[in-house]
Amino acid sequence: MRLVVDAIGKSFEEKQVLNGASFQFEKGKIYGLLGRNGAGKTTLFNCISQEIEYDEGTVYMEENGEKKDISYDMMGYAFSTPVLPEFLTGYEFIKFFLDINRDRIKDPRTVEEYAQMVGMELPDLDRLLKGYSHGMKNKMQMLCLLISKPPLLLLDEPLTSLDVVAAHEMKELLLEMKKDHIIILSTHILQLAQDLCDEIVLLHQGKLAGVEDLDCHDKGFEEHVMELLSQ
Amino acid sequence: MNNIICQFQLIIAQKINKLIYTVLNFRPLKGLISEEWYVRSDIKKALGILCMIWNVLKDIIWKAFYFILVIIVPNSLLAGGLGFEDNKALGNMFAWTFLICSCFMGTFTHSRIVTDGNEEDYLLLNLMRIDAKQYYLTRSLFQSASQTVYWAVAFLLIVGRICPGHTGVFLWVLLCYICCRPIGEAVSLKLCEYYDKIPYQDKSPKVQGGYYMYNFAMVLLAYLCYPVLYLLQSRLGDKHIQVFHPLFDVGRFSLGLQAVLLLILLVAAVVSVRYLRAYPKYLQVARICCGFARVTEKQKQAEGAGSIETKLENSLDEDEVPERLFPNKNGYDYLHAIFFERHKKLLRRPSQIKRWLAEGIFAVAALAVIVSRFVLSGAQFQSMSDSAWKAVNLLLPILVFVMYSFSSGEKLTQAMFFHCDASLLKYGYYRTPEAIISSFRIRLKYMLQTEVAFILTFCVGVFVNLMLLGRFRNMLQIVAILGCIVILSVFFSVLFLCMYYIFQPFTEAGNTTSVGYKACNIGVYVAAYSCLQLHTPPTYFAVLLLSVTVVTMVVGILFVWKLAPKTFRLR
Repeated sequence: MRLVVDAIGKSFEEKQVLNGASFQFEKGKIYGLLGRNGAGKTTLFNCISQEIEYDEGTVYMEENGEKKDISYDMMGYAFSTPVLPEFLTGYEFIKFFLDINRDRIKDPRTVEEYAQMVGMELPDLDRLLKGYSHGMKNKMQMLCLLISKPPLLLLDEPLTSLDVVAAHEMKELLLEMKKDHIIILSTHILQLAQDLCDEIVLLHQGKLAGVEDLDCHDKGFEEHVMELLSQ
Repeated sequence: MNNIICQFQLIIAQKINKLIYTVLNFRPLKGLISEEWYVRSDIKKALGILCMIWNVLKDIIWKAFYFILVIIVPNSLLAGGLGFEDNKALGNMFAWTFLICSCFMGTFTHSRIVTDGNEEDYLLLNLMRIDAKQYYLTRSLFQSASQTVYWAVAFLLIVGRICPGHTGVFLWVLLCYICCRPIGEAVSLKLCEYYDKIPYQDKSPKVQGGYYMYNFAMVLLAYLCYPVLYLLQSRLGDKHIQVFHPLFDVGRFSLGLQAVLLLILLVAAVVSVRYLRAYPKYLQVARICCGFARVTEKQKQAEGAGSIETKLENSLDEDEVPERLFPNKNGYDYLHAIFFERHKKLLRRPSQIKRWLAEGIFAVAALAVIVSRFVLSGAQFQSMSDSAWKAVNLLLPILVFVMYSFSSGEKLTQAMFFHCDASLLKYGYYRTPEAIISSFRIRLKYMLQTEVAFILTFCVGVFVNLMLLGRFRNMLQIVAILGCIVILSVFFSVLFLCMYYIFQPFTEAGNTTSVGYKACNIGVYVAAYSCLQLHTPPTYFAVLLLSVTVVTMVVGILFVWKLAPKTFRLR
């Protein structure tokens, strides 16, 4: 299975954010999407997830030579700023999410078991989401992806607000999940991309480009990326 | 001087950039200018000069308006009401009111140093790191000087025409104003020191209460001094209907008093200026008054001042540990049941208020009918009953407008959006057609349920009162009236919910953007208002109403089924 982004173009007013961006993302890999501020990383995610309409090009999933449109079932999107219904408790939100995805979950567990998967304390489950920290909200968001396990995961700066332990747990979790998924995470932090990702994709001047020739764990990688993004 | 120029440049540059931004983003003017204008220094300089001229003109016009609306109009009305139309006294009344309102009230309660989250102060003091003492002193001095000039121009424009011969008095008032400004600033800082927090903006009842009391006392003094003097002097037997205010109307004595008051203010001003110059804690004041948190909080308040979100109270306490609710419910039933339970205060209150109001009105009416049954003769009671029945027939079309005004549908949909949909609509699963229709169905049921108590109260109230009036023979019409009440209560709730799902008009910023929604809203208002003009028997009216509402509701629900899966999105 792979995600094909084919010549996507998107403009806002006069500003062309995506200009024929093309790339193929394979299952079983974590892709780090790097770009400068305002390069269009979130716009690209919004186009892939059909949150916004793009002006040109196509985005689809391909499995055994068969093209499929990206539906809600296929894709999970974790926002950089998690927005959750604040009137629910953590327990209620997970229960609600489990209820509405009941048919899609292969091996359902209890709410408490799911909470423990992302390192949440059980007493926190009975607190209103309104009182959750940014990091805890982020965990809830990631938990939704863990529960529904869609083949494509789009993570918009997923680890930036997590504490050291939670970030480490989340990394482990993503590494565990990657074999069955296409995971694309956008980040500003090059080191995170180097640690976690199998491939780095640069979004620069509206186009996508994989960083080839160099292993992302190599010493000269950082200079190479800087050079490409500064062009 | 450099300090003032620097402040000016920054403020003007900010205004011009905002202006360019507004024009760039104003659809009808799209394409008229380009983003290049941000870097065109010649254009920005020209706009800067225009901006400055406009600011000066705006201030003068504003002051003239203030003088007319706050000083001239109320005093003229007071004088007219009391019956003295002595122009000299009227001019002095204006001077007195201005002296109290602008010198003794405004300067003490509207400090230019102890502000509340002023963005310009934040930019210049916290970001640009301008010396706080120098900044505050030069700014106060400049503003006092400019305001004095603007007042002088406003006086020239108005006082010269309306009360000739009062130029001297107003010059004296202006001198008092100049003296009062530093006194006001010094007092504000002193209070700031005393309470260790911002006076007047503090929420503690003591400070807030003192602020309101002082303002109230000053307003009373400003407006009631002359009427009280007039009443006192007319009681003393002065038949000339002339008022003698010791500060203005008693010849040389008044002149002496004015000189003494000015001298006192002058001495106090000198002491205040010395205090202001020696004051060591301007930096702390800056940190309290225009720190980042305070400025952003004020900005949010300003941006949301007219928005819907601020009108909706937040009924959730984030530290509360709620119990697990509705364990037997699932999915969207579960979600909405919790939503309605946690927001019951907010959502049920409008319906409760309506019910209490109806209960009160009908109880009083029933009591009045019962009392009149004993007090009035049989013929008189019958006549009253006939008149009441006639009035009910006439009131029926008014009921449409009353029910529209009482409908809580719009408020309920706003609460649904801001407390639930604004967050969940970000997720794909909540935007699927099944999820949207399922939520609509559950909410429709809930909205109808919340109206039941009110409908019952209203129907029972109307029925009991008409029975007490002995209208047994009009049973068919009474049933028609009760039918109208039920239909109308349901109708407006359903209509607002349908409109919400079809247009989803709210933005996360708290504005209503959909033109279609606004047009429908106006249409509903106009239709409800037009009913006031209808005069038909209740049975016909009920049939007409039933037809219109049933058709509208069916069409509305069909539209929701058809359109909402596409239109129920975040804007």
